[in-house]
This record gives sequence, C-alpha cells and structure tokens, in this order.
Amino acid sequence: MLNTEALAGVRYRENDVRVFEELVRRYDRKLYNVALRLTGNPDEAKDLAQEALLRAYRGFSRFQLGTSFEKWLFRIASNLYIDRLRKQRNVRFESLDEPVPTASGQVEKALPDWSNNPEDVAEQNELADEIQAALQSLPINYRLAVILYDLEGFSYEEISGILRCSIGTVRSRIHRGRRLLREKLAPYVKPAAAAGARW
Amino acid sequence: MSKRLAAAVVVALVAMVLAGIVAYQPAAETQTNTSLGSGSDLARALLRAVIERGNEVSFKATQTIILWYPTGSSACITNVIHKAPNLTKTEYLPSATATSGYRVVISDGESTWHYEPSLGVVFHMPGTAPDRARRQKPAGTGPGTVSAASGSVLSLIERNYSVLLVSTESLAGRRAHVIKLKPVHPGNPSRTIWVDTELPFILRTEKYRPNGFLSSASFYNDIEFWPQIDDSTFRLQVPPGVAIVTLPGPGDLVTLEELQDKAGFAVPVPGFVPAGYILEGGTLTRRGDVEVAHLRFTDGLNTISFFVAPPTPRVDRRSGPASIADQFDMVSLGRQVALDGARGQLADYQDAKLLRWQASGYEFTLIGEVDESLLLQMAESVDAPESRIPAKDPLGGSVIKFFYEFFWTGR
Amino acid sequence: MTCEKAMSLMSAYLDKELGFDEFRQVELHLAYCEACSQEYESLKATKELLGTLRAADLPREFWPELRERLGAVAAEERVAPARAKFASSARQSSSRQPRWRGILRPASGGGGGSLFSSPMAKALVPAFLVLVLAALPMVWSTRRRPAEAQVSSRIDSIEPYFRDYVISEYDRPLSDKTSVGFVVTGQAVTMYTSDLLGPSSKVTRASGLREASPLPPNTAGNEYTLISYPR
Repeated sequence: MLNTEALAGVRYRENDVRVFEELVRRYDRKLYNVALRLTGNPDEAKDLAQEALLRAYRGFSRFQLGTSFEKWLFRIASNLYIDRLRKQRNVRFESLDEPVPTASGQVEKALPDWSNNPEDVAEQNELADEIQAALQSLPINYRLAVILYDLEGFSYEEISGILRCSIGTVRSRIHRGRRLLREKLAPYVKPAAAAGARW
Repeated sequence: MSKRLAAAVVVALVAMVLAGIVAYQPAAETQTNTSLGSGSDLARALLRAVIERGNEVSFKATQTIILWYPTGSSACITNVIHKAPNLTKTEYLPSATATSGYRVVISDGESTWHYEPSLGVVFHMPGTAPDRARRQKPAGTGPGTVSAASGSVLSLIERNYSVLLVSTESLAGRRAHVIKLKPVHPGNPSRTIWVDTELPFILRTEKYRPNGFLSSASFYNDIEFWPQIDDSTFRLQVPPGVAIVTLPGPGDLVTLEELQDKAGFAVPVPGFVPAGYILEGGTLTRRGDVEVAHLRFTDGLNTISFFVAPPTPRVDRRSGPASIADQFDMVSLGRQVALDGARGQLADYQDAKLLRWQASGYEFTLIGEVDESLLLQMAESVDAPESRIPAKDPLGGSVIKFFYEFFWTGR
Repeated sequence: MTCEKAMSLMSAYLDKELGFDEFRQVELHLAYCEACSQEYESLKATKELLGTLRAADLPREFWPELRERLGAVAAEERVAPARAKFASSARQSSSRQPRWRGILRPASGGGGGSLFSSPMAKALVPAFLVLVLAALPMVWSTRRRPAEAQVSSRIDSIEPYFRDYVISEYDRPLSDKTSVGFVVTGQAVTMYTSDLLGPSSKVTRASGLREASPLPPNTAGNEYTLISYPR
C-alpha cells in the first residue's frame, strides 16, 4: 500500500501537467484571442497566453476553489499584460499587414478568411486591420473591458470579477472605450437606420 | 469606399448565414437517418451489453476524471484495477488540481473500504459498492430490484433518451463507438459515451447539464484488458493506529406503503414528477434523533432525491426562513425562492441543485441535476398535511402509486 | 432623465446590462430625444463593427510548446515536496475542518512555527493555560447554549442528504463508478472533517498492521466470451 503511494509520487509530475491541460483546454482559444486583441501581434499573443497559463499552473494553490476558474485565469492574463506594458513603457505598435519575420523567411500574417470572394477578403482584412489599430490606440483599461465584452462575450459582472473593479466602473470603461472607437472608426460607423425610425 | 465595404460585409454575412443553413440541413438529416437505421440498433445493443455485462471485463487502467461545478472545478487521475465480476481497487492520485490527497478505495461488490492516509482513517461503507446494483435480489423483496433488473433500466433509458450512434473514434489505443443519449424531455442532463468496439466497456463519458454545458468528463488514458491480477491486490493494509469509521449504508429500497408504515408519520409526496421519472422506492435514514424519509426517482440515467423530515418538537427547526439560510452556510450561491406560500432556499451543491423548504413543520429537501424549474414545480406540488394525523391520500400519492405500479408490474 | 444621464448609460442600455428601472427610463428617453437616439445608433453600429472581427484559431505549436514549458516547471517543482503544493490547494476541504484541527496541527515550516519556537512564548503558554482553566467555569454557562444550537443545526446540514443522493448513483448502470467514488469518498472526508458523521457511525481503531477488508470469496476463473453485435 505504501509502495503504491510512492508510485503515485513518481507519477505526480506527469499527472499534474495532464490534468492541468484538460482543465484549461476549454479556455485556451478564448485566452489566445484576448491576448491577440490586446497585443495585436500573433507571436506576442501566443507568448502572453502561454505565460498566463504557466502562471496559473504555478499559482494553482492560490486559486480559491469555489470561485470561477475562468475569471481567475483571465485576471492573471490581464495583470500579466498590464505588467508587461508598464515594463516596456514604449509600446511598439506593429501593423498587422507588415510581414512577419520567421525562421523560414517572411510570412504574410494570416487573417480571417471571410468568403471565397477575393475582393471581400481584401476589404475584410482592411477592416479588421482598422479595428485592431483602433483597439490598440485605446487606453489599456478601456481596451481590456471592450475586448472582454464585445469580443469575448463576458458579462459586466464577470468582467468586474476579472478586472477586480465595480460593475459601475466596467460600465463606464466599456462606454468610454466604445465612444473612442466610434471616433477612430468613424468612416465605418454608419447607423443602419435613421434615428427615431425605430419606433 | 466605406459604402462599398459595408455592402460587402452585409453580402458576406448573408452568404455565411445561407451557407450555414444549407450546410446544416443535410447534416441533420443524416443524423436522423443514422438514429433510425441500423445505427440505433447497434447503439441499443451496445447499451444493453454495457449494462448487463460491463462488470465482466477485467482491466487495469489509468483514468482521468474532471468535474466542472458552477463554482469551480476538480480533477483527478486514478489507477483502477477491476477483477471480474466484483473486485475493484481505485487509487486517487494527488495532483495540483485535485481537491484531495492520495486516496485508495477497495470494493468487493458489497462494501467499500476507503483509506484516507492524510486523515489516518479508513471509512467502511456497507452497501455502496459499484457492482452492487447488478446483483439480482430474489424477486419480491421490494423495488430495490428495479435497478438490478437491467432489462427494465434499459427500457426506461430508451423511453427517456434518444440513443444515437454518432461516429467511431480512437482513444486509449482502442476503437470506440460514440453514443449520444439525448433527453426526450427538456430540462434533463444529456450524456455521451464511448463504447469499445470489441468489449462491453465504456472508455469515456461526458455529462452535460440541461443548458448544454459540459459538467464532467472521465476517460481512460491507457488501459490493459485481462491482466493477471492477484487477489492480494484487493487486500487493504493499514498502518497501526488508523481509525476505522463505519458509515451508515443507504439501506434497502422499499415501496411507498412500506415506507409510510415504517416511518410512523405521513410522508407527503410530490403530485408532480418531471416527465420520464418513476419512483424507484424509498428508505429511512437517521439524522441525529430524527428519521428522515428518502424517496428516489429516476429516469434511468439520473436521480432525483426527495427527503422528508417530520415535524419535531425542537423549536429551532421552525424558526423560519432565516434559519434555513443559516443552514446553507456550506453552500455557495444559495438564494431564496418563492414557493407556493412558502419560502425555499435553492443552491448549487457540486453538480446538483438543492432545494430546501419548510411547511407545516415538515422540512423538505429536493436534490437533482434536472433544471431548477422542474425541482421548483415538484416542490410546489407537495401537499404537507396540516396535522400529524395521516392525511387522506392526496392526488399526488395516487399519481406516484400509478407510476410505481405501472413500472413495477410492467417489469 | 437628462440627456447627460441617458448618454452615460447608453452602452449599458445597448448591452441590456441595466436594472429594470434604469432600462425603462432610458427607453422612454430615447423615444423622444433625437440626439440620444443618434448616440444610441452610432454606439450600436460600433459594437456591431467589433462583432465582425472573427476569432483566430490557436496556433498549431501552442500546446506542444506550452507542454514543454509546463513540464519544465513541474520538474522544478517536484524538487519541492509535491504534498506542500497540494495541501495549500485543498483550501476548501481544510476550511471545512473544525478550527481546532488547524490550530493543533503542528506547523510544517512557514510563519506559523515561529511563535512557539520563541522562549518567551514557551513561558507564556503554560500561564495562558492556567488562566483559561480558571476562567472556564465562568464562561461554561454561556458557551453551552450556542453549542446545543450548533448540534441541532448540524442535524439539518445538507451534507448527509447530498451523500444519500450521490450514493444512489452507484445503482445507475451507466454511471462512471470512478467519478461517483470520487464524489462519495470526498463527501465522507468532508463530513468527517466537519464532525458531521454523528453517533450512528462506529469508530474502531486498528491496533496493528492488519487487513481492514476481509477478502471476499475467490472469484477466479471467469471465462469471457465476446458478445456479438448486430451488424
């Protein structure tokens, strides 16, 4: 019996990683997308998401059972990104249509394929670039709130848990963020119907 | 430029939606065809084989369990050794994401011994063994045999779930048929199981809440069938000084009438039971100096437990809703709900919904994984008698009796 | 409602994240205020524009790379005792233990041990115990009632109910018995550490190395034949 306990210890490392992976698999894509929208750069996003998961693994003992694991994970990622911003004061903004240097030469950045019409794809890419650039220009707190709500579908309440602020603060950050975006994206923002026609 | 772009976006969106509709319809048709054709016969045969002969497969395996609760999650890797038909040893290994330390559990088909080294305790749990249910009791000993009769369980499952053979996949070095069990009645959890193509053995199980969210997954990482296993594997050896704690067993299930007789108080029953559920039977369990009646309902896959604690002279049990809330201090997310003339407390406890309320001095508890609206409906249909004199059989009683007899005689 | 107020609530209104009263007020205001309606429409268009961004797929190398990094962390943590990490992660179960268990448990390193290692504290402990013993008769009468109340509320605790519910899962032929066992045994631990087992559970103590479970009758020699499925 005690022998098997020792055996359990040997398996500990392997088990841990495997169980952890299963646990976070359902959040990995969402986490990566938040990172991608925050950083605007696939490589940086990958690193940020991976680093956040590593921190979650290391700090699992600090995760309070009975609370939301998802919120905790996204809080780690948000704090990590804010920390990084603080450290590298001058944030380099990279345009999405710049080719990405890789080991095997330069590669065009892969952007979402919207339809089979090349013209549409081009315009869609252009729009995505514009939106990403606009997001990038937002102050970090607004950017985080808007990404979590408008792109990743968290509720105000969940965001207040992730960012550790009141729901009122979430409300105003999203609102201000959207207003700034509206200015930046003015050429694309055309209200579908005339005001007042809704009634 | 912006107008053209907006138009392009609209066109693209419409195209996507249309493509989605077109792509979706044939897929849905093929699925229905599969379920109506030979696929569903195979799925049923697999289910029957697993239910009737699952425990006949000896194996040695590593299995992962992950449970997602509304309030958190828990995961564990286990070493499982099963020697047909009824010896099982499970070691729950510690990990950073598990909520427990090393734990070993041995069962012999009748009892379970659970050694928890971190506490220095062995828990002996009579009547809680995994293979207990499959044993046929002599006929006529009560409805406990309902669950033992695999044929009736299978027909119950088939009545309440559409059994679909979805695909074939490889896992843990084996091939498996993927079978979906979709509830016929809304508000019930659903389940997907991966059944080995050569053996009556479930390799992976995924459970989904009524809202479609994954609530648990358990699967084998690697598995060896028919290994040489010595019986001494199932001997539990413990160091000196370890306490052996015997926990009360669940007790045998009896009919409602027998339960009423044994209880010594009128047991109010719900007049409404969610579609597909039948009364399996009841037991009496002791809580301190009070005997509590426990009625079990099942749809073949899931359980709804209904507990009735009789009126007692103790004052603090009737001190109103505030005290109920206090008793829920262990439960997160508890909230007050309005029940027909009474206030109840509804909470998430691990994977289940738990509803508790008081009426006429009785205390009622409902536990189940069905949608909370069904539990609330059940609660509102319970007529608590005003006094301790057994009330006339309320309509609810006859409904239950009908279901019970229908099922019992139909066996 | 003033325009200023309505404008400040516009995003939350759009997201249906307002309380009922505020939602109604903004709705009413929008019905007659042209400027605010325009604000609403433009914010709605902005939100919809953001919605056109499509989610990216996870890079193929994401998990292979991460697995390697996780493995490295796990290896480095294995040097430190695995149990220590586990013990602190089991906060939920330890918080359910009666307080005294935590107090009496010897501090295994960390800040807790330092108090008792100081000579001053060592001298103070007996003095404190004498004081407590002297004061005991005085507090006895007041302590008693809450203790009784606690016992009766324990009888109504939900743990035993949940245990009875979960145990019935053993009788469901398609349930995963390892998962059921995980929950059932976890529940036993919770009830034991919360002193919820009550008088109906018997406790005996193993006097030496012994077998806790009598081995059931020999079940060797089970032949197994492959079952045939319909085609």
